[in-house]
Amino acid sequence: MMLAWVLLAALTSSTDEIECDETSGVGCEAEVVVVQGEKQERENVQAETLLHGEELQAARGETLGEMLQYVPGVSAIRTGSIYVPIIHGMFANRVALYNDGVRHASQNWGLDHAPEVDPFAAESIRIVKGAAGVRYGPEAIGGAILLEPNEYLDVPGIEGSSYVRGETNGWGGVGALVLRGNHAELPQLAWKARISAKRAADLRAPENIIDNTDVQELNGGAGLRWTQDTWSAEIDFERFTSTIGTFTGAQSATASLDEFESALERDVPRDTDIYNVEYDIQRPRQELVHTTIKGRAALQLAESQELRATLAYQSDDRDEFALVRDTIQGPQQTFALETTSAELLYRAERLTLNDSTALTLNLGTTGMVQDNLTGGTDRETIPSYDAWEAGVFGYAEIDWRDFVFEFGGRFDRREITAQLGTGFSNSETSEETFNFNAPSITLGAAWRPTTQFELHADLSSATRPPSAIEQFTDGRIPGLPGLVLGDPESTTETAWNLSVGAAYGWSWGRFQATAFGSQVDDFIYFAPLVENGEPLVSLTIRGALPVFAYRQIDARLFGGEASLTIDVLPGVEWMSSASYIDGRNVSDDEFLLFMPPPRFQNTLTWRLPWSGVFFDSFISAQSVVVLEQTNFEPSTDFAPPPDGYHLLGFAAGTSTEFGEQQLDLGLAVNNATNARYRTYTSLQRYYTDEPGISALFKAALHFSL
Amino acid sequence: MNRFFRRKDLARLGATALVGLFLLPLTACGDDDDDDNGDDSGNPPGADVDEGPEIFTTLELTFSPTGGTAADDIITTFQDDDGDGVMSGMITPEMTMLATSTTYNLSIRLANTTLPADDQGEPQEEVMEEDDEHQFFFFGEQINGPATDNMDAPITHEYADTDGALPVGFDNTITTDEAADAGDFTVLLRHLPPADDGTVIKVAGLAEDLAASGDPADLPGETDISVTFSVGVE
Repeated sequence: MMLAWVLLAALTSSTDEIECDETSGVGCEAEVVVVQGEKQERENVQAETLLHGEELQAARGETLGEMLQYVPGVSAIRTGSIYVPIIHGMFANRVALYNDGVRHASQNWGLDHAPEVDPFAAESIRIVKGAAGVRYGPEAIGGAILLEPNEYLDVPGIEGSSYVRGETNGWGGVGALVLRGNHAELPQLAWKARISAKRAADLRAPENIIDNTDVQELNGGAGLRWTQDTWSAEIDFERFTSTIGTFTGAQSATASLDEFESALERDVPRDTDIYNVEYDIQRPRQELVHTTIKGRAALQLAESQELRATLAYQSDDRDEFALVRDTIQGPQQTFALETTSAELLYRAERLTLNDSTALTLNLGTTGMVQDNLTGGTDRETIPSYDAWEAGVFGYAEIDWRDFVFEFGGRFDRREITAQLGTGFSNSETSEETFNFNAPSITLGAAWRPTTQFELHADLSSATRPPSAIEQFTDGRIPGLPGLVLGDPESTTETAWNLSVGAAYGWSWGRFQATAFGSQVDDFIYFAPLVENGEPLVSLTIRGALPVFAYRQIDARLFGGEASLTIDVLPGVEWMSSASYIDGRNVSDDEFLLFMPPPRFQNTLTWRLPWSGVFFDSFISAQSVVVLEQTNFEPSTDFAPPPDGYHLLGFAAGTSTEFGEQQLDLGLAVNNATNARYRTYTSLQRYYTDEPGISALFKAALHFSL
Repeated sequence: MNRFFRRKDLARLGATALVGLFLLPLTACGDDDDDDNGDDSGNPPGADVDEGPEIFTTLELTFSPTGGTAADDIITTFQDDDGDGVMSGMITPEMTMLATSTTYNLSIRLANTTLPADDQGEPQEEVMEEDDEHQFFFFGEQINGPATDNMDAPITHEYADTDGALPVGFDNTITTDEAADAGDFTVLLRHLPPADDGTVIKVAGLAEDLAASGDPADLPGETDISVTFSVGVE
């Protein structure tokens, strides 16, 4: 969880790749201040953050959303052990997730539906903030998260890492083994394999057990690559399986409005004294299986020109088990999503046009067919559907003197055919087909007069068709105290995003700041329906429930984040960051729901001057202050936002080496004061506090055979 | 030190130990998965009572006066055809008037009208089979009974059935007093499954606890049904 903060020092500047020879002394100091490092490290001129190497190692064992929540400008919607990343206020189907170049296709519409990916699959994680539709497709209207895997080994040998992590809150453990190899007898063939497992019991808040927040996860993957002269081909298989419990109190409290209101008034959840910390995952829970099979071929056309074709099949099974009578065995809702996608990409890298100008060009086309089968014994909240998408895109980057200019465009078309009926399994259904066109453009520029300074600005757009859930939902969504109604007439939403940023590094510090503003036309907004200032309710057999609906409004968001890192004393580094976001529903002159409140982080890290047996040793302390969200609309929420809070954490780590093996050890304490707090961007805030104090131990062994 | 930590040996040892370590939880998880998935997939909805949908669309109250015939029955129904869909449920008739100074048998019928006609009574059968973990509660401004403390209310409720030891509430005795305007008459069905550790939560005195607290949310378990009818005496 908060362990992620040891990596923050390196996050302050976006994409700063520090390459510095340890032995080169003072000259090295000058290298360290490079703000933008190697040019190819930066994917584009948009605001982005790269998590990798040491920073990523520090967060190993956490879920993806957990890892990212301490990146400035990113936070998470948390429900127990489930984290959904929020980038600049946008989340779920407004953030595209790419796993090794393949868009992750999942049931990402629920506020408690975390991305079904194994974070151990990533060697680095790139977070693109703001509309990035041109590069990453319509879903990247709010940003993109790119998981980039470990590359195949080109030289003979076997390299690997193994990880162990244990945590006292929830008595959870994670273990993983990641291997890659190449052999002298057959150097064309490279392979990699990985396996990870996780198990944790219920989490504990200071005053109560957060019942049924246990997790069980088993993931694995393997890949092979053949390289021959100018071409290479690879095939890769990945499987993610997880069973996640959701807080029992949330389902019972959302059964009816009366119970929900009574839960709001409680200091600790009802029946908390009868719960135990246990590993047995009860109902309500989610059972998830995500499988990806991918093939890719790359052909070198000329020097720095490549043609790449990717074909991927993904199957995403999500079973939702509600709290029901003992005699009922199976899941209440099942969703089986099968997606086959293909991409053809031509990339020309840094073609020299003249002495001072180089061109990088990407041209591509994508296609996707998707099939969702909804089942289960309960009434179907979303219907079964088939969809296809096709797109063409192109973008170019021109390096001219100290400037980088970027421009591009994309066009996607989506067609969805849904089986609409009453939702009951025996009902008659009729097919309806909807079409959407989604154009996007991007224009950007960056100026890097020296290696210490950078200024960048970009204007990007993305157009996103509505998802099936936004169009067709009719009924209950787990965890939400109400009924949800989709809008079949939804049109596409279009975001225009302007962001400007600056980064400056000097001999004893660095500063980085980003500001952004977005206008989203026809924003598909999820909020309670209000009639005459009162929430609209619908009578069900369990009582009256408020009705939530997807409807289209115009939204405007602005905000920014800044961070400053300075060496206060030799070996002592102080890192401070702040982020702010303001989201408004312009159509109704209201604030948007679920916008993360202002957040401040301060970390003091003392890098111990040891060398010899132990190196890279540090001790650090971190404080996170989150203010109360004051930008909220009383009529669109059930309860006022929770108070602000302050969390304190400590960490220590060291590394040692024997031969070519390196062992990293770390200890940390999160929420050291065992503070009671609730988070505005959490569905759980209506019912229970967030987890209390936790101590962690972790070890990583990097070896080569 | 270098001899002790010989690179090859260490790597081999490390790899073996780690692989072993990771296989342990794997086997545990694997077993669970088998158990769960074996049952969970491929059940045709509604094919078997045990896996049938837990949907109640209908709650019907029948007030039968003692010594009367079927023609004298007073019936009021809550009906919500789309279950948890957004369409609102309806109570018909909106208001129910009982006769003064009369004793009624109040019986409750649950149904799921989305099923074929022969199966619509399944919810009733299921709850009756599990009567040791279900209980109806009757409360509201017009009712005096175990779940309320309205001594002066015109309608008195008593349970007329048991699960062997404790009341259930499918059958009840209702006694009316003087004429009174229609008012809230809430029927709450609470599902009271045993706690994680097997502790039984359907215990004696739940109705009395509700009378004392006045807040149904203080009851253990979960709400299966909660409908407020409008009932009076004339």
